[in-house]
Amino acid sequence: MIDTSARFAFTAEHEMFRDAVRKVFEKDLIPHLETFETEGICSRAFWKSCGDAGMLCPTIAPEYGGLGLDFGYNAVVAEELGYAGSSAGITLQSDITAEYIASYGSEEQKRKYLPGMVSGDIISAIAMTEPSTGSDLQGIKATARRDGDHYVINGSKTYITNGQNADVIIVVAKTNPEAAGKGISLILVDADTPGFARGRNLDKIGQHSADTSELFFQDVRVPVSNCLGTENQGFGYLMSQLPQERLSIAVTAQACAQRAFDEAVAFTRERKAFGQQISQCQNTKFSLADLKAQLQVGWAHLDWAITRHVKGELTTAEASAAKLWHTELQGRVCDAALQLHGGAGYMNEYMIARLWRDARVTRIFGGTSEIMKEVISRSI
Amino acid sequence: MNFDLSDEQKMLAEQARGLLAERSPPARLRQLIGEGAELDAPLWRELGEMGFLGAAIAEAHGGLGLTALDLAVISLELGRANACLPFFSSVVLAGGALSACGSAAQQAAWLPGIASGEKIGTFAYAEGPADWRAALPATTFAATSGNEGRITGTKSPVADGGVAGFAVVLVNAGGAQAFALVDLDQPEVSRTRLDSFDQLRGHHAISFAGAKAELLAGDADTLARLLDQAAVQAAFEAVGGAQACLTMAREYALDRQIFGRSLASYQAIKHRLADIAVAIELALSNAYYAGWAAQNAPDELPAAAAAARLTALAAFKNAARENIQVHGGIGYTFEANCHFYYRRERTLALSLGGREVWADRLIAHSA
Repeated sequence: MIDTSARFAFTAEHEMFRDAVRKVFEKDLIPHLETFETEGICSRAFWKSCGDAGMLCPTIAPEYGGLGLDFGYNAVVAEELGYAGSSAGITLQSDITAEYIASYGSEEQKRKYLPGMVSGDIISAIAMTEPSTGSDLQGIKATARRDGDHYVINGSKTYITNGQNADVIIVVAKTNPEAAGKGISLILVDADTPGFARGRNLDKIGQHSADTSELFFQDVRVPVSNCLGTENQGFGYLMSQLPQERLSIAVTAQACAQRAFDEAVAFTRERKAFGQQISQCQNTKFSLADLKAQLQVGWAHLDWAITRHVKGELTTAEASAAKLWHTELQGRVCDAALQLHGGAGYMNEYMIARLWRDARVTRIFGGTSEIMKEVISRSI
Repeated sequence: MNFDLSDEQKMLAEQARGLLAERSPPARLRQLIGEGAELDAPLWRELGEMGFLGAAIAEAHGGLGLTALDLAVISLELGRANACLPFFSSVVLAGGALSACGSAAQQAAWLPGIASGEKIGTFAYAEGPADWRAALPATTFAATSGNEGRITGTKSPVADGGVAGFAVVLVNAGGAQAFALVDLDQPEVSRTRLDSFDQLRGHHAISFAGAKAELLAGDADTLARLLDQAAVQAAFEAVGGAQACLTMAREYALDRQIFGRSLASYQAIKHRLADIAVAIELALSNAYYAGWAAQNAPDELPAAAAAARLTALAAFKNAARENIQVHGGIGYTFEANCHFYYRRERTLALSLGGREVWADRLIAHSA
């Protein structure tokens, strides 16, 4: 269990919420973790129980079915989900897609989607990455051509989280293919729209409970009223949502690192070698001490970042630094914790094996560590 | 292919190691530092008499005519002893430049002196903080007649610039990079000793005010080759230094008792020493390959020399730092011997271009 006694980003209300989150996960997530991993997707029932418990999109205003809380509540869910060792895509909905609709959506769009996203009846995805475009978003190829009062969308997307489950997708497409960043719009596409097709659920190294897909758009017609915010302003929207997306990844990364550490502590206390518990070997003590020191620094920094973000002060460079540092920490801690497990750590039956393989992508998605450095360097 | 040393080379190494251990122990190094010396003169003479300084110089010029790998064996032992000698400046760099592109007359005039130790040379390339590889040198050569002329400018820092009698100076000769051979004992040359972090290798700023000079037949390609060859020798010197650090750390850890047992019995120490040993082994393999390539495969030399230099300096850096850490508080004092190596490691790491320069060269020459 994450020790929150020394944390300073949260109030007593956040901690009560955390207790509720733990209970829901205990009942509706932990018993199904293996199933979700094997099937490569989380059940809609899990989404529904998160929604019923008020754990989805906590920041959404009551008039759209939400609780109107602050990002600290999102952080609580992200921490508990990461610590549970699950890669379910609920944080993507709470921290990212719902924020887009709430921030830029029309009244009609908000009424159509937000209540369902809060209740867990609607699962959402955002489609940015394309087969030939990763970090350089301005270079996307997907187009949304205007035809009367409709857009006709063509193109393909890949590595899309919640791609299999999604009922609605925020598609990043060029409404003006001649202009680079200034020709990008965000368009809502319902999954039952003709011409939309999902590719296979992609086979990944880790994060097996997260359904990740290719998506195909062939002459998909949607009304122009499906445009989120103003046409051709999409790139600016993407940029302004980045701090929260990156902070969200940092939160999960820190919690996963803590779980990996706790697993290593438990294992090395149990395991004997050379006539003693391996937790008594100097190398084990030093390795764990090193990790504990890093985790302590990490939690302090994370609380600072969450607090700043709740106040609306976290800058893109700061959020990028947080994403860089916490995901790199996650990589280091998971690797060292696996090493302390010895051969057992390589066996999938141990939690550390999953934590280790799930960790690898966090230095890549949401902007790679190298892109984070680029962004940070622009602030210097 | 056998990259191991020949029996003759092993004998040469043993001989050099024995002599240096006897003549240049830490107490002698402290004495030299106390005197502000830049050269252990008696030891230098002795090395000359035994043929070490002329190992790679042709027999016709008083040397032994041996290979780059033979010279490397000596470089490694000098690195181990951390001796106060201008071997790298005089034998490797100045001697290397003369052997590579000196005229017959120039070689006859200087090489025998280098081989005997009577003449000490150095290689003057840096000009303060400016990147000496990027642009033409500010030091200029103006021809008077034939390959003779006069040079004007300041080189700084110049290793062993205080004890050198002549220098091979990197100059701008009519818009091209060139080497000028300059006798430093002339009124148009002035030297200022710099406060060097490495107390056993003096550095100077040398100013030339229209000093007489003559060109060597070298160009930018010659310079690159010379630097590669020097990098190989520096790599061996670094490996020798790293081995000395490992030995020191091991001996100290075995000797030192703490919490009722030997310091060396702790996993934290054993693992640290194992990491140092692994890095040294890797560096030595790269150095052997580069030493072999220097003699037998010139096409492979640029990549081999860069790899050798990078891994050797990385091993030395780690060994020099960890040696201090293993020694604890005493390792931070002047009385302990750790700092000799820590300082030398910095000198080697920053001479002839830093890590990024050699990393670029490695990439440029990797298939």
